[in-house]
Amino acid sequence: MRHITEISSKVEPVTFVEDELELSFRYWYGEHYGRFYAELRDNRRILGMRCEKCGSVLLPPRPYCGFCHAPLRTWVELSDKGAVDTFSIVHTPNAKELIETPYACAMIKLDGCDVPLYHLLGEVEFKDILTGMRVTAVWEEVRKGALRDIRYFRPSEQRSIRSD
Amino acid sequence: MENVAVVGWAQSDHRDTSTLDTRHSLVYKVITEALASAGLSIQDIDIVFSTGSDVVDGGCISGCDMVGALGGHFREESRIAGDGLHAAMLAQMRISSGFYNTALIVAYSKNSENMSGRKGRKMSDPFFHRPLGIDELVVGAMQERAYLHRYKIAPEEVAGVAVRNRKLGAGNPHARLRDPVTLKDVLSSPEIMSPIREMEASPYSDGACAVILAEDRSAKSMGRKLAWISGSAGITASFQPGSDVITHASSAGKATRLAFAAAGIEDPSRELDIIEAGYQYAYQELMLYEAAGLCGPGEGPAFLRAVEDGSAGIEANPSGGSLCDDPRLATGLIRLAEAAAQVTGRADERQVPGARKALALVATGMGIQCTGCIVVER
Ligand SMILES: [Zn+2]
Repeated sequence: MRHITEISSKVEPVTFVEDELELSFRYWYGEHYGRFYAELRDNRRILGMRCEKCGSVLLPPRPYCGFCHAPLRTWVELSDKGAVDTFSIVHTPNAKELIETPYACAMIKLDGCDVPLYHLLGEVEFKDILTGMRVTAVWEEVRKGALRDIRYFRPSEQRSIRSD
Repeated sequence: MENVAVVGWAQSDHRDTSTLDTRHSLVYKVITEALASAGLSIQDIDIVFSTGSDVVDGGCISGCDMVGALGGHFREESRIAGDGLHAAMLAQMRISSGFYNTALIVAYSKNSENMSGRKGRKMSDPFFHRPLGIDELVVGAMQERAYLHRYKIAPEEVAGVAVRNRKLGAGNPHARLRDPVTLKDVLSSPEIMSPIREMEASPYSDGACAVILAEDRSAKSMGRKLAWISGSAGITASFQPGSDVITHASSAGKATRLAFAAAGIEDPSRELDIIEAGYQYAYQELMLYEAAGLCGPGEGPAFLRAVEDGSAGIEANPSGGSLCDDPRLATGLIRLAEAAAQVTGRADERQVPGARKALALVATGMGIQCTGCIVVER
């Protein structure tokens, strides 16, 4: 066998191979999400669950309490109004159903609920968004059983125009 | 229970792309260097732990394909999902059991090879978060805004975290970003997700780290300074925090309390010499100081100024931390390697004189809801 003691620098190395993996999924909603999304679609209602052990009101509905791990059995209807906990302006799209950028998203504490709902903000200038601002859901007329059945949350009251 | 020491370590020079290295050769190189640093050969290793990501690698159970490079054939080998620092804790527990003498922990990621956009989206819940594009960057941005709002912290304080780490990273030959930046540079870098700016986000990098642990007798027989593990803990908090808790890194709070209790540390700000913290966004460093009890809630910026002027009596991220390079999943294990190097006086140009006790910590996930930490001491 002939030993090769040096690799010729004249050889241009092959550098990379391109590849693509197709990954597609169909995730089953199951009982809890199934009911949650059906209520959004059919009745414009946001359903959460109340933990009988620790008293927390939770979103999204799941069979267990995220705080104390007790089983959840009690459904509650949540308000479609709440307050902005915190927010961001998104410049680079990341959702599959592309949302036109830039857009504002927020953690919204719905009245009576202990965990925030992540959703979009609309009908508001970015510079006017404030932590603690009251917001109301704007529902789509045609609903499909998806989070975007709520188009976005808009400020509950129009901010008065400043007169300097 | 056996005492466990960190006896060897090595890390790659982290890059945005490591053009000619496969992940296998990247890993093989750091393992070879780590074994040499401990004066061991692969035959001396009882168990191998690895961490990597199937999503980043683009392969199902991609760890299988790595076993050869890891030296994992025909010995105890397992892979965990998460940062290598969490694997190091598992290795520590196994050795503590008395059934194993040595462990090799390897973490790697080659983010440059995965061309399919933001990886965080693939981590989020397809039922409730993904439809709105919610990922760790979005949650991080909202967390930063809530934190700044609650404690009236100025954006300059957060930018200052990036300036400080980049200055320290300039002295770290392994760091990817080695050019110092000014406050103006950071504050004029693009807002990638308001209020997070580009220079305040850890740069996804390619890189690997290997660490070797050994039990008491094997470690002592090596005849060198050793970094003993005196405490460790890993905690995951809720994935869906509200603003009342999102302004506090509760997983880091509990993990550090447990690790300090194990290590007999009562006042971490007085007893620790070094904290090496891995995270994704600059504001998180401030929150992590608060959670670790180094200062009170909202006092992160003041604490950082005290670190800067020396009055805190503790050095933070002498390596430059994860704002200079973030080979995701290896980032925390690198913090352990850096901490071990510091307390054994082997940290070269970034050595902090007289360092005896260090905390290595990594906080990951949406709103840093997952934390692992290890205390090492001379
Ligand atoms: Zn409960």
